Amino acid sequence: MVVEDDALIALDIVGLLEDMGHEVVAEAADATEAWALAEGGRPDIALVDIRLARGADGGALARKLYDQLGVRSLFVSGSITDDFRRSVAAINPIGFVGKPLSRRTLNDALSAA
Amino acid sequence: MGFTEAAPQPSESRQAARERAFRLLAVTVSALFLAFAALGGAFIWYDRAAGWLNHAHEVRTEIEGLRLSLTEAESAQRAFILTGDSRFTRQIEGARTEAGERIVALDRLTRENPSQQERLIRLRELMAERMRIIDETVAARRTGSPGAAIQVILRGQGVAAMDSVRAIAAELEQEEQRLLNLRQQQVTIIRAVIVASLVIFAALLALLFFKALRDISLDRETEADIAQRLRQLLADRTLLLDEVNHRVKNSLQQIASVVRLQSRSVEHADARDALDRTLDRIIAVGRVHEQMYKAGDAIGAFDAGRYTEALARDLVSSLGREDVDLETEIEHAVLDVKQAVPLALILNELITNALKYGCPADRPSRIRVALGTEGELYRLSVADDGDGLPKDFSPKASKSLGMRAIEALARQLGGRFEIEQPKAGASFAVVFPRS
Repeated sequence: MVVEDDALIALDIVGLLEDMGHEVVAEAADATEAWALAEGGRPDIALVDIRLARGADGGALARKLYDQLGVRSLFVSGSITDDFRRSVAAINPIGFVGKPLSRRTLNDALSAA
Repeated sequence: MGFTEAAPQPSESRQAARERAFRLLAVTVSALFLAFAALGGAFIWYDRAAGWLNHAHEVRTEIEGLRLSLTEAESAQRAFILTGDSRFTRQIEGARTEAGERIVALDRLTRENPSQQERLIRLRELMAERMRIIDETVAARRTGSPGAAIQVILRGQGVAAMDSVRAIAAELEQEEQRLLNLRQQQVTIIRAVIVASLVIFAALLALLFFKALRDISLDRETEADIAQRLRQLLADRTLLLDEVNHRVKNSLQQIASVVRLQSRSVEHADARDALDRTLDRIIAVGRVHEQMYKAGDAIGAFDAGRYTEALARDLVSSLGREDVDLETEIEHAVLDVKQAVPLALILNELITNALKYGCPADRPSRIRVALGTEGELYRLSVADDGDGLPKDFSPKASKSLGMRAIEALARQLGGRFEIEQPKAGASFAVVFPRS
C-alpha cells in the first residue's frame, strides 16, 4: 500500500514498485482513506509519507497499522529526524527513505523487509 | 508559526529597574552613614553626660568634706577650751587647711556655674567668720581661764555662722542635686537616642541585605527569561529549517517523479536515457540537501569527501554490474555550501560518463574517484580503464550536455576542467579553489 498525498509522486512510487515486481493493493492520499483501504486490502507493507494531506501524521497512521493490523511501514519523507526515528522505533519500521527517492534507495529499503 | 517578537521592552524596564536600584542604594547608604554619625555623636554626648554625673558627685563629696572639716574644727576648739592642750590647736589648723582645700576644689568644680560661684563667695566669708570666732575663743582660752573662752562662745556668733554655713552648703547641694536630676534625664534621652540609632542602623542593614537578595533573584529571573527566549528562537529556527528542508526535498521529489514517469512512458531508448540522466542529476542535487540537512548544526558547510564517497558508491552499484570495481581516494574536505551543488553535478556527470563510456560490457572495469588538495586548490578526478577517448576529443566541440555542463560548472566554481589521456582509459579532473 502506498500512502502519499502528492498524486504524481504516488504514481511514480507505484510505478517503481510494480517495476520491482510488487503488487500495489491500495493507494491513499490521507490517513483516513489509508486506514479504510488497509482494512479491506490487507497489505503486507505500507509505504507511508510522514507528512500527509490535511495535516495528518504518517507516524500515527503507521502506528495504528502496525498495532491493529500488524502491517509494517517504510517511511518516505523529505525530512526524517532522529526524533522521528526514535518515536517509531517501537513499531518495527522496515526503514526510512529520504526524498527524492531513487529506484536504488527504494529497492535497498524494501530488500530489508 | 509563532515567532518570538524582538521585544525592546524588557531591556528598557531593566534599565529603569537598574536606575531605581541605584537610587535606593544611594539613599540607603546615605541613611546608614547618617545613622552611624548620629550613633557616634550620641556616644560622645553620653560620655560627657556621664562625666557630669561624676562631677555632681564630686561637688557633693567636697561639700560634705567641708562641713566635716568645720565640725572637726569646732570639736577641737571645745577640747582645747576644756584641756588647754595645744595638740587641739594643731587639729584646728589642720581642719582650716583642709577646709581651704575643699573650697578651692569647689571653686574649680563650679567655675562654670555663676549661681554656685556666688554661693561659694558667701560660704567662704561665713567660713572665714566661723574660723575667726574659733581663733578668738582659742586666744581667750590661752590668755585666761576657760570661762573667758566660754563667754566668747556664748555670744552665739560662731553658732550663727555655722548655721549659715550649713544652710549655704545645703543650697549648694540642692543646686547640684537639681543639676544631677537634669543630667540624669538627659542621659536617659541620650540612651534612647542611641538605642533608636542602633535599631535604625540594624534595620538599614537588614534592608540592604534583603535588597541584595532580591536583586540576585531578579537577576536570576532575567537570566531565565533570556534563556527561555533564546530557546524559543532556537526552536523556531529549527522548525523553520525543517519546514524549508522538507519543502525543498518534496519539490525535488515531485520533479524527479514527473521525470521518471515520463521516462517510463517514452518508447525511444535515447529519450529514456536522456530522461534517466536528468533524473540522476535531480537525485544528485537531492542528496546534497539530504546530507547538508543531516549535518545538523553545521549550516553553511558541506562535507564534500563524504558526499563524493557516497554518490560514487551509489552510482556504481545502481549500474548493477558485479564486474565494475570502484576505487576511491578521498580526503576529508569541507566546502562552502555554494560549492556543493556544482560539485555534486560535476561528480554525477563524471561518474555517469565513466560508467557509460569507460566500462565496456564485455570485460571487467575499474573506476577510480579521487578528491584531494593541490596546494590551495581542490582536485576532483574520475578515471576509468576503458577504451579511452577519441584522439580529437574536445569538450568544447562535444555535443554532450554532460561535458558542456562540467565545463560550465567548473567555471562556476572558479576552477578549470582538465582532460587527461592516459595510456589506458580516460581521466577527467576538475581543479577549483577552496572557496
